[in-house]
Amino acid sequence: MELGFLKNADSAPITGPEPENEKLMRIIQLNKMKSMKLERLNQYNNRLKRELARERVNASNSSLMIIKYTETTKDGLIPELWGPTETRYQEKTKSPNNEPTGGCCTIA
Amino acid sequence: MDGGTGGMYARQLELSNVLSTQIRNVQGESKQLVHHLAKVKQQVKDATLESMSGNCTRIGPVRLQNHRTLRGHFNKVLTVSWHPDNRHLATAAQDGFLLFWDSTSGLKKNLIRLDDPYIICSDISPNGHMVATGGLENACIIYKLHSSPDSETSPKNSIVSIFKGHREYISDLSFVGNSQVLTSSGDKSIVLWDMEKGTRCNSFNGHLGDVLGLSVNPRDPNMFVSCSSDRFSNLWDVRSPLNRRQFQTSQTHDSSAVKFFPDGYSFACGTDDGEVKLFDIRSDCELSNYPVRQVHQHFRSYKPEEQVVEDSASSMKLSTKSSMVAALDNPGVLSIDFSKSGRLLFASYAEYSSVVVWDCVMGTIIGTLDGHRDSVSKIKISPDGLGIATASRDHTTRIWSV
Repeated sequence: MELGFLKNADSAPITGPEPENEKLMRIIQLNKMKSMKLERLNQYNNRLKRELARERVNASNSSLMIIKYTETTKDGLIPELWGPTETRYQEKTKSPNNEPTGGCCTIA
Repeated sequence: MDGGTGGMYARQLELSNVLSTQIRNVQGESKQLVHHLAKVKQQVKDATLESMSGNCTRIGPVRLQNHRTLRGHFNKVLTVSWHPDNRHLATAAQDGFLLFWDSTSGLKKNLIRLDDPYIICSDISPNGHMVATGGLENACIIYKLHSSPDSETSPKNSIVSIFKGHREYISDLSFVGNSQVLTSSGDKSIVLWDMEKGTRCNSFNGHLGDVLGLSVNPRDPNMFVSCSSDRFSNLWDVRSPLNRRQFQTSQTHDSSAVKFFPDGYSFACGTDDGEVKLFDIRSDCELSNYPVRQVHQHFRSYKPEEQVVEDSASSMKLSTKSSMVAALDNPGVLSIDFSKSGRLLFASYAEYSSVVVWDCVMGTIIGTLDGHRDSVSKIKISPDGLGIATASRDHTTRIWSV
């Protein structure tokens, strides 16, 4: 009992029967948790508000912008839209066919 | 004294009641805000890319040819990256080597024996002087890339930087400028490393699962997007790591491949159930999707005699047989990339050895790249948009073009 009394005197100026103290401690604990929860909820709401305030372009407009981009950027892989393109690979594939004849001539 | 305790208790009780009412009020407000937000998002979503494509010129089946097959690795090729000169590329495989190739001649130019043989990802710096690698040993290692003939004789390939700090494997990485590297990891974080400082600049925490992929915005290198097994794709700004924007990529499946659309305002994300979706940052919503159902239909109605490459019919069979093994690695979409204009979307799937070419705008399949004998782990389009490199689990890398 004496030790318990000392402990209480140390931490806070509260004395009295144990159950009362425990009850008080529990409600203080509970309130701490509640204020933390409130804080978290407020943060969540602020995030939602920020998200709501964000300016959004209609999906139809972004779609049109994407289509415009695909139509105005030259794409060598679609000769149907952009005409034939000379790639570094075509030159190389042609040369082996030409080389043997050329090679033959020089040897002969 | 007793009264003091009682008074304190009463005050706390009062506070408790006040807090409870406040919590109830705020919760009510949250509910309203969520409802309002859903409504706003629904209002914005007034069309899809496909529904707006009425005036768009249709394109027929694309015919892309396999120009080179790069043989030299002895195990699954897992990653490929283009040199900024559009001609050279680096491939790395599970055999523990990184090979540097000339894609036009098909010849090897250099070889790097990797410190971490369990490589997953690689990227060549924009100036072409370095290559960064990441893998199962949790470290991002950056090597000097020699391509001139005289340096080939040098006995050792020099390591430029080693970045350790991730607690799990590195799933993807990308250079940001010539001195910074972004790495995504299985430890749920993304880290920006600086080669001049020799250490991390920033960490990006927020994913609740393994981060499986990332893509840096081609227009603004300060922005990047990541995808994760938590089923969300996050949009980040390098300058403010605490803020992020979330896009739900799937309800049920992990997402493992993400790529920015070339205009930098949208990005595509592939998930483990085989779906690919296009999200728009301006509209904050999904614009288009490329369902796996169509891929299955396409391959079922596929006629082998139409094929140009003679052995691709057998390759299809092989791939369906080995799909069980492949599925153990990672199911669904393995890799995606866009053509230069963004009109073509290339996607590889764990179940198929062929790469599927989607018309990104119309949402239809307009071709396939057939030839590989096992699934394609990585697709990369060259910076000039004319070359397509596909790294496959069949130990080869193929170069495709018109």
